[in-house]
Amino acid sequence: MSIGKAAAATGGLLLAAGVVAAWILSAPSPGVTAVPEGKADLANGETLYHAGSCLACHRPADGAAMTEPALPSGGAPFKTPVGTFFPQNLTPDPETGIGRWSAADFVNAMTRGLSPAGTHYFPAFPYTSYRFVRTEDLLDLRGYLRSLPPVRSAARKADVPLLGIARRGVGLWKRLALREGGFRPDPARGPAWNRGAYLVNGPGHCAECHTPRNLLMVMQPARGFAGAKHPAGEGQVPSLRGLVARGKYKDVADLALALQNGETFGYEHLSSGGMAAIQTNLGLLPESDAGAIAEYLASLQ
Amino acid sequence: MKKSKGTILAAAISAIALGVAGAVSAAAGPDPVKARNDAMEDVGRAFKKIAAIAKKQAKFDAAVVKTNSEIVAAKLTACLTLFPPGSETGSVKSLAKPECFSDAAGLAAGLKASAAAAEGLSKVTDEAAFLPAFKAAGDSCKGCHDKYRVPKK
Repeated sequence: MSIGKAAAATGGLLLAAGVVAAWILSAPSPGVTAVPEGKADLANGETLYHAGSCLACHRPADGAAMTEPALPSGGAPFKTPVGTFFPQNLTPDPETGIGRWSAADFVNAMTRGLSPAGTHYFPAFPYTSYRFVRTEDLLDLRGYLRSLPPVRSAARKADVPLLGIARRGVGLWKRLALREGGFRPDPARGPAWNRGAYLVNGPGHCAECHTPRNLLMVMQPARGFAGAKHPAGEGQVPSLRGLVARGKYKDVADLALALQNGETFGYEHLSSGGMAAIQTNLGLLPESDAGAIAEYLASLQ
Repeated sequence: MKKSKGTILAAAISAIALGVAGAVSAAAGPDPVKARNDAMEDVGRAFKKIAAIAKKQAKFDAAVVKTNSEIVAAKLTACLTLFPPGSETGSVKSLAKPECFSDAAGLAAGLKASAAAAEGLSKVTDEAAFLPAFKAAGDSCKGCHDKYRVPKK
């Protein structure tokens, strides 16, 4: 009897200690408080906007009132294994968009997954990739978004079980999944390959769907771009390794044409599982960037 | 007792016979999944011959454009009857998303629009008009695949 009581008491204490530890470990880390701001290069910001296919996820819901399908006012459902999210309004509306966000707010959101209120974003918003984007590029992107016409469209609450606890729990996940370090160019490779590597791993966030994840949904770098389960359950996301070696594309130029034109030119692997919207955005990139992405991708073995 | 045994035996035999007959008819009869996969493969092959011109891998040839876009239009029209209710699975792997069946009207409208775009392309005789007509047809394919087809490996 007394042994049982002692065991229960110990168990209770352990549980309480565990909860306290989880609470401490899941706390949002303080982000940056100030970012040196210059004049934004809007053309570069637009390139990054297309490279990230921001509109593909931050588009308005089909037929939503008072929205414009070409503007990223958010609201279209984004299905994931965790639940359904309704991405944020990225237009500069002060109430519902990012009009009141400081440059630091924007950088913290993109690279640390922190909201201006200091809470965690779910990694459905791929800050795991965006943390590789250079700060000056982030500021150009912010400048471009702020140059868009504001649209009033409040974000719907995510449809995730135990949303509050899950959101706090993202803090624990970040400890596993968010490693430090920006983009490091490979000096052994040329400028086009490095540009492609930057666009693919940073703004393009290709790994988010094309790299397999472990049971804790952390991407496995050793199996980078080896193909993975489709996040919304639409079969398998294809591997990006050996695209030319396996004969999927003739050469780098063929792959670049595919990225620019997709299924419109009969490249049949680029229009399922949401890839059509992404390819449409990639088609708006400068030709040199499409070529750089193709050169980097073709080198993945 | 004896009679009931006989009845069970007869029932079992007829059940087996029915099962065999069912299996035979399924194997012999047309499988809409295989039929539509084959049709779409034909569309892809024909479209690629036209796409080679757009990619500047082949010279513009109005006859090649006409022949192949007519194949595309005919096969897409044939697909209109190849997504009957209950054909989510078949003898071969289906890439059809549930939307093909929950939004059959939308799928049919898409197939018809793509067939019409291919017909428009088949009437192109000069190189200047080729690329816009080709892009219209290609965009039409792309629009439907994202909505109605799961990713191809």
